[in-house]
Amino acid sequence: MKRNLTFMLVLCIILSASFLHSHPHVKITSTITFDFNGTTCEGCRVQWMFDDYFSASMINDFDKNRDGVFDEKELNNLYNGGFINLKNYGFFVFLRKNSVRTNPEKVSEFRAWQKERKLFYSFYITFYNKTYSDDFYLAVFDRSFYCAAFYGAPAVIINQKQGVSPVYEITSNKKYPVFYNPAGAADDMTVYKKWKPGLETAYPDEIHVYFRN
Amino acid sequence: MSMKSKFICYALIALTLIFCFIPGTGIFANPFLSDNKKTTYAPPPVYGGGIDYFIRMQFEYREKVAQYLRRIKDAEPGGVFLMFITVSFLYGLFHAAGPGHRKTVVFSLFISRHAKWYEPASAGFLSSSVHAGTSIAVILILFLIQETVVSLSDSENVYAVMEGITFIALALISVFLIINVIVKLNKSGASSAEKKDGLYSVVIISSLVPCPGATMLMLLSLYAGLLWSGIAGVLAMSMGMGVVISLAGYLAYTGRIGFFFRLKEKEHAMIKLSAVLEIVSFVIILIFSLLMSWPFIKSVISPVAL
Repeated sequence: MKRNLTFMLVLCIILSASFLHSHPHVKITSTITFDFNGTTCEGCRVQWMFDDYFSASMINDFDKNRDGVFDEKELNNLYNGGFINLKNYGFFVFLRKNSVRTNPEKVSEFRAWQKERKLFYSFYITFYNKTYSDDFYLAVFDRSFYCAAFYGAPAVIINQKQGVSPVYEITSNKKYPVFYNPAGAADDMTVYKKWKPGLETAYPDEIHVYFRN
Repeated sequence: MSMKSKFICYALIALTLIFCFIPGTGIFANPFLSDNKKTTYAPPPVYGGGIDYFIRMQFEYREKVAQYLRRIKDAEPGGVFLMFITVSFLYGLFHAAGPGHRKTVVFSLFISRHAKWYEPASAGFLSSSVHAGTSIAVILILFLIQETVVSLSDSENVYAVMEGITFIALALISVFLIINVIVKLNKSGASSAEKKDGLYSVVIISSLVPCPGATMLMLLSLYAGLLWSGIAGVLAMSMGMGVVISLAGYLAYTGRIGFFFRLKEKEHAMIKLSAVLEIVSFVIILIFSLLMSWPFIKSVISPVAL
């Protein structure tokens, strides 16, 4: 009987715990364009296509004259009200060289447009320190799980000014997880470098860019 | 519903309205949105690691729902509306099969009590109907108050507040129910699991939260000027969600029947075990509720400006 009871309690806890998950509300489809000059990557442009629902909501909120185009004032409002807060989330971009992972602190050249009732964002990340030249990883991932990030077709475009182009592949990362605090308050934008009690782990798919020898 | 349950429901609605309309207070469950003049409350926490099958299917069917809604707007002939209802139902299935949607609560309730064969289904469909119905009500109330098309941030504000408040209420109810079981067991030696009171009240109270998926479908249909189609789609979606939530109830129901069938000769042990299971299930609901409401509680104690 004791075994039965233990089995029942364990079943109860495991099954109820398995239901205790949250799901994302928005789908982002990303295309990343890397700008190479020889073996140096100077930066990358991130383009996001949003799903119909989020697109309709943001267009409703920010395209005030409903003309299907964001004019200068609307674009400015969209940048301040619907984009720049992402700096608190590292713009959902995770860069990794070996075991060192960083998020961009600033981005430039923000653009937004509408096409076939879908909303698109794009922005540029400059690699000032030239660290990301050969053999580095980039992931688009929202650790707040508000968005589910997918890679588009094409997922990657490579612009090469001179020399041989690098190659890329999308790999599942199981060695360098992203840590986040599920019980963090609204102002908890901490980027956790190491796991500690209470933190959850996630394994975003990464774009691996490298030169073939 | 009993008077007590009605009072709790009214109190939840009143608290939601108070939190949502305090001047200068806003909540951003949405990481894109910012307003420097507003303070923020936190949405529920997320315990999820990646993109699984159900999330992919959920997005696939959500896109199909949007496509059929557009085709209704374009007045395409044929069975477009029927297809819209069908894909909305399937979207509801995949949406609820993923995380959340009070499956924990329904599962825990049926692990803890005797139930008739149809009750997991009743509870599942009641939960999904209240969950989806709250979405329709919230969007329509905001629409009537603002006299304009509702924004995503407004609906998300209400969602974050209602999630926080209902989980706090659920935690308090769990504590009350745990004490109730212990008192009854000490008094008469009988478990309260035989009694049905409280089952549907807990289901209703825990589901009084707008479903984000249904809310987005309502918003999309409002933007397209297809309010009634949106409501029909949300109702079909809630039927799909009801199937999955009911399954969680039946999983617990059959597990409990199988377990107690083995013990049918030992009546005394059954009573004690029944009480233990009841307490465990309410403890699970209590922990679940506290985990989910904790970020909201923290941000209420110390509101922050982003």
